[in-house]
Amino acid sequence: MTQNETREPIMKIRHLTKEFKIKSKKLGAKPQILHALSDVSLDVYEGETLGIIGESGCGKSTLGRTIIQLHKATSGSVEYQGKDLFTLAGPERQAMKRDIQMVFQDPYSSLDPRNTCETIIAEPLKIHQIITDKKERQDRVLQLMREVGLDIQHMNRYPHEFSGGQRQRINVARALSLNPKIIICDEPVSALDVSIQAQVLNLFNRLQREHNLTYIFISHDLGVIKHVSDRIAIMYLGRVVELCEASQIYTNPLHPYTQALLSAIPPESPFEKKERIVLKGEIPSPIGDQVGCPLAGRCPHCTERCTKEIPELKDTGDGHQVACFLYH
Amino acid sequence: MKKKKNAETITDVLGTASNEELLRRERRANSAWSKLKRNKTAMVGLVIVSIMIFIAVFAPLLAPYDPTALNPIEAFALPGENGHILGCDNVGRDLLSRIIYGSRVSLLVAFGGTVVAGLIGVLLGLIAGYFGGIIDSIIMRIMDGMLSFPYILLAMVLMTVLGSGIFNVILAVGIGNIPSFARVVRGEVYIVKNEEYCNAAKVIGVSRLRLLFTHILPNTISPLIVYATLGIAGAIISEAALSFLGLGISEPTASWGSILQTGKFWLNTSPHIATYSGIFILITVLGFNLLGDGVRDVLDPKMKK
Repeated sequence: MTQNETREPIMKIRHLTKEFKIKSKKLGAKPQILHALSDVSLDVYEGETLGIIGESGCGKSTLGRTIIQLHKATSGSVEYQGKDLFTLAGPERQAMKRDIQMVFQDPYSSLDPRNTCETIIAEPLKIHQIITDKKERQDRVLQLMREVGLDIQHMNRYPHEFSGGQRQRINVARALSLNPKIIICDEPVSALDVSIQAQVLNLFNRLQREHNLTYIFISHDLGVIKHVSDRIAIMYLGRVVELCEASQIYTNPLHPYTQALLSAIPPESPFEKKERIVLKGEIPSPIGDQVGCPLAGRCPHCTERCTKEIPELKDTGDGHQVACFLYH
Repeated sequence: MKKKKNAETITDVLGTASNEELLRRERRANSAWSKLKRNKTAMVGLVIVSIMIFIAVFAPLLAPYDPTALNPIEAFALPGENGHILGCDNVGRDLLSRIIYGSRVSLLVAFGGTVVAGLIGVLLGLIAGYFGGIIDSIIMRIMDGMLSFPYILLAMVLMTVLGSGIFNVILAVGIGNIPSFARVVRGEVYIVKNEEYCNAAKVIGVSRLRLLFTHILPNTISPLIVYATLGIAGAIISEAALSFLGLGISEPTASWGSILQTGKFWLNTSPHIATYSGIFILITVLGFNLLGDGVRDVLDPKMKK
């Protein structure tokens, strides 16, 4: 995977910024601005799984939703196969929707409770007019259901009649029905219990191999991310602070935040001594203007420069990128 | 080649006859009609409504007398007297015949008024709820303005402007009911449009129109149906009230409301005139409410029985 530099990325995210306006309770006061995403730039390569990890509220889900345009980006661009996604319209936009799909966090609320499993999986085929014949469409639905490991006898059932894992399989089948190139997985297993998580993750891995899918896999679970990712981006307060190969992040974490995050994984053996790095304080509020490194107030290596400048994501060699002044 | 492969998958998937039978049975059990059949109260409502519709449609065959024929000799005849099963009114018209013919007017106004109110109200509510912002404000403030008049006053104004006649009663009752429909739907749309499955539909590439009518509208249907059945019952009563006030259906056309109006003058001496049409209104309203509750349950996939 180290030959990433030579490969052409399938998706280029450039300076993506998303700000939410928060209306003030006081009449006539200026709305405050919440910086959910600040200047995020990432490359996604074909066939890989890009894991995105961070604690709650750091903007991981906002990133996924902004790429898929459920949120309108404040600035920045997402380029897919050389085209800027945010400016597409008409048939090109529909074609893009076919190529980029999403699996949501909550498997139940993302399925329309009034539609049967068959209707749900068939809907994308219908609206994109991929299969117009009703009988053929049903065949395709059955094929998809089998592919994701659903019992095809359940095609007439409603979402509430399925278990959590099965519901997520329906979501995956729906996303898969359009033969997408990229699937954005927004914490797809966090609502499932652990034994089902493993099954669904294995399903994701198998589908990736069979269909040459590219995943942008958002999670807050270090174990899950480790299991699925090729590369990992660590987010903190709306910024990517470190980006590297999945193996490197566990052996050679560079950013102080990553080091602290990884030290939170419990040791595998009770006899193993593990040094725990505890960051002082809380995450600063994303509301209002930001000055300096977002971690400055909590970082054990904080210098004066950190409080004044925002470090950029820079390569330290061999594709390992980090946004910290300690390394550049 | 591809087609053949598909054909193979479906046979080997659903291969055995028992599987296919199972699927078919499940689909049948989930169908609206079979669920409705299992719901006893809904069936009672359906029977009542069907009987009323039957009476209205076949009124000329069922009515024993001409509903407008005057016969002063038999005025105030009590029920059972001279072959008049429900007696006669103040000018000797057979009450049973008048009630049977009156069902035509009353049901027409009830259905028509609710359909008019429903169509316009639901559309306005959908638009207001989905687009929000300034569009929402404009539509809903107009609705609030209409609601600020007492309903019967609004209908009276409309009747005075439009003049009497069945069609105008339908219009008046319908227009008077629009704001409440719009409100019910708008409130629901506000909740439903932020559900994750609407986001999921957008990600798939569903158009706005399709999103509104295939995902948002069906999910607002429960309160809508309850409200519509109440609306039907309310429309029957509104028609009765308008006729009672002398603004709705004018003599000699029979409607349940106009019979009530006639009866009110003779309540002390001949209470049967008002009583029987009142009972018919009561039963019909009850029937629609029972049916409406049943239909709501049936349309909710989570209701098993």
